[in-house]
Parts: sequence; structure tokens; C-alpha cells
Amino acid sequence: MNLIPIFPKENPRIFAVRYDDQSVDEFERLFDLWNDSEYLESFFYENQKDLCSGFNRCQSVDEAVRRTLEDVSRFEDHLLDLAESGDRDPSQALQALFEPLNNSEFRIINLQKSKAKYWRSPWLRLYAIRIDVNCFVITGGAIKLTHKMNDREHTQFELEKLEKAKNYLIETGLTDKESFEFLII
Amino acid sequence: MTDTEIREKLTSIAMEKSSGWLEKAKTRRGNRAWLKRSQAIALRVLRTLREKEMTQKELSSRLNVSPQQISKIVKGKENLTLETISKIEKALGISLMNVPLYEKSQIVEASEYLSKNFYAKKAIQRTLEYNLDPKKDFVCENTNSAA
Repeated sequence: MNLIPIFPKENPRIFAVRYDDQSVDEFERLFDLWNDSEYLESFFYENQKDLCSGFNRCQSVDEAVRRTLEDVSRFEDHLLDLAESGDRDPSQALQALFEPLNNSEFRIINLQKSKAKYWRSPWLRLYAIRIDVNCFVITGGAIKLTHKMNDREHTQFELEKLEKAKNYLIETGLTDKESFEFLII
Repeated sequence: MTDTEIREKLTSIAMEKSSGWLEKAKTRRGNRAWLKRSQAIALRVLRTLREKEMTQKELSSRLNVSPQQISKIVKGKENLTLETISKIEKALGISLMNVPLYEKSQIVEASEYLSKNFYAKKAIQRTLEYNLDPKKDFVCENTNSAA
């Protein structure tokens, strides 16, 4: 497992995990996937039932793909603007983007499991661990169509990745077990 | 551990080379206009393949292109030529491009022009009345015979 800097270029505040079985980091991998029509069509086709569950407004596979592609462009543009803001401090924007993984957590602490929830998208999620108030490590992401992460295999897998990354960060001496907490974006 | 110590530690264990995301995101933003069309075409192709129970390999044979080329097309990342679009349309029996002959805005502009220009409106009315006049052909015939 490796940590890859995402942005800003000088003094990075967002990092992403690159797992040993992947050629690119999670941040790059997810945006590649979410911009891929074939992947999205296949994903929503396999999860059609969840598109008509109580959690989502009933919509077709094609509508879901189109919606996701639009949301992803806006989400990526927003992140790109933050990345290109140069000398300006993106702290406030990053704090606004990330929120605790567990909805019951209201305080910001180090090594908190976090999620980046783009306000315009009902289901795009990035999962992260807060290292410092404005410093995050992206551990993965998902298209979350159900209320709880444990409800589906692909979101459950993201919880396992969060745990795995947490253990790695503790092993590297970045923090101790006591000060650790999960966050979600 | 202080915030500064955490940052220093984090920087020391992270890789030096940044993620490839930034460059890819910039390229996607720069090509957004045609990528949107490419993604829409990809979705239509994928839907048709499912409906016709046809594989991507079969489509590649029909188009006489490599399966890798079809893979790029259905991912919505290919800047397609009109020739390729026409071939896909023919192979799948679908329409992927509809270019309107006239833009609605041009029709609106013309009607606005006529409503404001009395003489132009009268001239068109006279032409229409002449073309619809049943005596018109008779007059012409008489003129010809007289000549």
C-alpha cells in the first residue's frame, strides 16, 4: 500500500491510497470508472432493483447513467477548481466537502473515517480518513444506492478498505489507536 | 503528535510523484463537449447490443474493426468520425445523429421580422394569393396561346 499526493501541488492536503493490486491510486481509478459509460451501464443494470427502492426516485438504467455522468463532471470540475486554486488555501472548501462517515459524529478529530458527499449527486461517495483538520487520505469510493453501507457487497468492501487503510496508517506511526476515528465524504 | 509533526510524517511516507488524476481531469474538462456526445452514443450502442443480444465481438466483426476499438467506443471515450458513426448506425439499424434542417430560432426570427415589416408581409401575402389563384394557370395558357 502506498500514499499518493493528489493536491495542492505544494503542501498536499489530499492523498489517496494505491493498493498493491492496483496500478493507480483510488482517486484516479474512481474518476476513470465514473467517466466510463460501459462501467456505469453495467453497474446500474446489475443494481436496477436499488434504483427503484424507497431510497431513490424510480428511474431507468439510462437515466441513472446520464445523471451520474453529469454529476461526475460537476464534481470533478469542483475538485479541479480546488486543485488549481494555487496559493489560495483550500482548507475551508475541503472541510465543507468532507463529513464524518457516521452521521452521529459531529466533531472533527484526527484519523476520523470520512466521506465526501457531492451535494448535487444522490449516490457518488468518496471515503477517506481525516489525518488532520484539513488533511485527508482517500481510501476508496462507491456509487451508494442503499441507505446503509452494509446493505450491499460493494459498499461493504469500502468499509473493509477504510479499516485496512487505518491499520496501515497506525503501522506507519502516523497515529495511535486511541486517536483514530473514521470519516466519510 | 502535533499537526506539524503529522504533516511531516505524512509527507515522508507518501510517494513523491503525484496522482495522474489532475492531468486526466484537465483533459476531460477540455474535451467535455465531444465527450458528452461520445458518452451518449456509447449508451445507445450498449442499450441496442443488450436488446439485440449481440456481443461487442460480433459488432466488431460487422464493422470490420478490432474488439479494442469497440471497447473504446462503448466506454464513451472515443472521438468518433462521421464515417464510424454511419457504419455503427448501419450495423445496428439505429439512428445516432439527427441534425435538424432548420433551427427553431430562425423560424421565430423570420416571423418576428414579418410582424414588424409591413411591406415584406404584404409581398408574401400577394405571392401566396397569386400561387393559390385558380385562374392563374388559365391566364398563363391564354398568354401562351396569344403569343
